[in-house]
Amino acid sequence: MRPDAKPESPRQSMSWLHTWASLILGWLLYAIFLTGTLSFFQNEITTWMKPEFHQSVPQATQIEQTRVALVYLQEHHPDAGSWAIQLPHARQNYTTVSIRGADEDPRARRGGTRITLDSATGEVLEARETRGGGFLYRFHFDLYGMPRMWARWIVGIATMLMLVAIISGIITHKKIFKDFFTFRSGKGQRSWLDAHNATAVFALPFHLMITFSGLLLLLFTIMPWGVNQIYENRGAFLQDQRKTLVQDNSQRTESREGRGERGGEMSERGEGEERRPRTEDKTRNEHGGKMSARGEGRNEGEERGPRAGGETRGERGEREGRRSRGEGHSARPAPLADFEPIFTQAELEWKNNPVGTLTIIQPNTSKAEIELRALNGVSVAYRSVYPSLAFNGVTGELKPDQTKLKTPSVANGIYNIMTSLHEARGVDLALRWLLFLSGVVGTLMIATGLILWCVKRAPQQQKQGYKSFGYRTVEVLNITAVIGLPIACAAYFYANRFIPFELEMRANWEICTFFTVWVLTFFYALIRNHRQAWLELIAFATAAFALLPIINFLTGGQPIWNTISNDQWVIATFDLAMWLLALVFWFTFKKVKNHKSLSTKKGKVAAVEIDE
Amino acid sequence: MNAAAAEEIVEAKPSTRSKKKAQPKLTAYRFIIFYRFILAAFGGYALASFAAMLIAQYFSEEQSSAAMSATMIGFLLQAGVFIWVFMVNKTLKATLGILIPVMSFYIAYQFLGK
Repeated sequence: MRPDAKPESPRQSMSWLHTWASLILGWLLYAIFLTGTLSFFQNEITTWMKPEFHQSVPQATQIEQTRVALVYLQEHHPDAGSWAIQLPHARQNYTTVSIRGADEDPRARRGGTRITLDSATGEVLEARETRGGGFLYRFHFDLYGMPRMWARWIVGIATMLMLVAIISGIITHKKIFKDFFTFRSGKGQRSWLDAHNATAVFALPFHLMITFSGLLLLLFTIMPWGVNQIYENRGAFLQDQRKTLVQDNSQRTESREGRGERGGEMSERGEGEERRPRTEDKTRNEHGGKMSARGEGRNEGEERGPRAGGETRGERGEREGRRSRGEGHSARPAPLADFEPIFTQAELEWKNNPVGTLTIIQPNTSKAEIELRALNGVSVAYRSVYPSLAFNGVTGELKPDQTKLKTPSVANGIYNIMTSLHEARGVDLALRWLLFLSGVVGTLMIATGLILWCVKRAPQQQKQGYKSFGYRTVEVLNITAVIGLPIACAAYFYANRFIPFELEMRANWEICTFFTVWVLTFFYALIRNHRQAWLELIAFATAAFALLPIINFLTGGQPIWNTISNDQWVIATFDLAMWLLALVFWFTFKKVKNHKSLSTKKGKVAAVEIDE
Repeated sequence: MNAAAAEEIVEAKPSTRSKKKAQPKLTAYRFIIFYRFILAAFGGYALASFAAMLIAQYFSEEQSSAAMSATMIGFLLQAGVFIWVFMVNKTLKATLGILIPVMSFYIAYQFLGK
C-alpha cells in the first residue's frame, strides 16, 4: 500500500498489511496471549492462591484416597442422594466432594454442596475468597467489566486480525526455512527481526491452531450463520455434534446434554476439569423423568425448541418416565460394595489413565450405583469424551457398556482436535507443558513484533530530532503492555497473599490491584524516558517474580522444598515457573541494557535494508 | 491507524516530495486505506456470512458436519478476503471482487431457500 499508488508486489503489500493489521490490536492480542498462556496452568495458579489447601498431601494410592473421602461422607452425609468424589491428581493436591440431595441430578455440573477435603486426613479445608486463575482465564476472552457480547466481539476481531497477520506474515517471509536457522544477536533491528521470525516460525503450527480454534470457540458470537441455518439454537447443535461422536444406546443423553450446554460453550469452561462425565449412561433412577423435564425447560427458556431434535424429545422423556416408574420400587438400605476390585478393573481397562471422578448414586441403598470417570480424555479428536465405567453399587459388578465411539466427520474432527488443544481439555501433562511453552513463544512473538515496529522507526525519529506523537504513543503502550501486564499479574499474586483474609469483597480487591498496577505502569512509562522505563520496569518485574516463591512460604503457603519432597507438583510448578519467569526477565534486562549502546550506530545500517 | 499511516508515508518518501504537494495526496491516500479497511472488514464479513449460510443450506442434510464446515469456511474466507483486498492494486477491482460474490451468494441463497 503505497501513497503514490504505484503497483507493488504481493510481498510488499503483505508486509504493509502485516505491520498495520498487527499494530491495531497488537496490545490486546498480547494480553490475550499472555493471560491465555497462563491459563494452561489455571489449576496451579488457583491452588497457589489458596494456601489453605497446601497442607493436603495425598496418599500414594487412589484406593486410600477414596477411603478417606468415603469416611468423611459416611460420617457427615450418609443419606445424600448422590456423592461425587474428585480425587487428587497431578494437578490437584486435594479431594473435592459434591453432595447432592435426592432431588438433584447426580450428574449435573453445578449445584450440590462442594466441600474440599485434605486428601490424607479428611479434614475440611476452607480457602480465602479469590478468583484465582479463573480471573486470568476469563480475562483472556471476556476481558473485564464489559458486557460479554462486546468483549467477545472485540476478542473475535482481534483473533481474526491475528489470523490475517499470520497469513500475511507467511507471505512476506521469503526464506521461511532458512531464516529459522538464522539468528544474528547483538545487531539491533536485525536481531529483533530474527527473534520475531524465529518465534513465529518455530511455533507456527501452534499459532495457526490457537488462532483458528480461538475463532471456532467464539463461533456462536461472531459467526453463527452456518449453525443457525440448520439448528434452532446452540444447544441443539452441540447435542447433535456430540451424537456424531458417541453412539448412545440409552435414551437419557439428550436431555442431559442440553442442560450441560445451556450455560453456553464458554461459560462452562471455567470449571475445566470438573466437566461431568457424559459417556457413561446407564442410570435409571427415579428422578429420570423429572430431570429431563427440567433440562428441557432451561434449555429452551430463551429460545424455542430445537428444530432438529425437538419433536422427538418429548416422546423420549415420556418413555423414560415410564421406564423409571416400572423400576420404581423403593430402595432398601444396603452396604456399599468394596472399592478395591472396582479400581483394579478400572486400571485394567484404562491403563495409564487414572480415575478422575467417582460418582456414587443413592449410596447405602440397594440401588446404589458407582460410576468412574477417567482423568484424561479418550483422545483430542473426541472433545470432552472421557472413558467411564459403571458398576452396581452393592455387588460391585461392572455394568455392560452401552456407548460406542464413532469416527467423527472431517469437519467435526478438526473442530474437536483444535478446540480440545486450545483448551488443553483432558490432555496429559506432557502435552500441557508443550502447549504452555508454545504459548510463551507466541507471547514473545507478539512482544518482539510490537517492539520491532518501534526499533524500525527509531532511526527516522532520531533524524527528525523529536519523537512524533504516533511513535511516542506506540512506545508508551508497548512498555505498558509488554512489561506492564506481567507486573500486573505479579501484583495480582501479591495481592492474594497480602489482602486480609476477612476483608469484604476480597476477590474484587485482588482484581482491583491488578488493574491499578497496570495503569500505574502506563503512567510510569509516560513520565520516564523510553530506555529508563524499559530497564527499570524489567528490573522491577525480575525482582517481583523472583520474590514470589519466598512470599509464598512467608504468608502461609507450603515452601518449595516441602512441595517438591511431598510430590505436590501442582504447587511447586507455580513457584518454579515464577523463578523461570524471573530468569527470563533478568536475561531480557541484560540484553536491553546492552542493546541501546549499539543501536545508534547499527540502527542506520539496518534501516537501509528494511525487511524484504 | 491513519495517523500511523501518515508516518509511514513520511518515512517512505521523505526526500522526493515536498510537504505541500503531498498534502492532498495524503488525504486521498488515507481515505483509500480507510475505505479498503472497511471493505475488508465488513465486505469480508458479509461474504463469509453469506457463504456460510449458503453452504449450510445446501448441505443441510449433513447436519452438524455441514454447520461446522460452513463456519470454518466462513472464517477462512474472511481471512482470505482481508488479505486479498490489500493485495489488489486497483481499488475498483477490490470493490467489485467483494461486491459481486456477495451479491451472487445472496441471490443463490435466496434461490435455494425458496
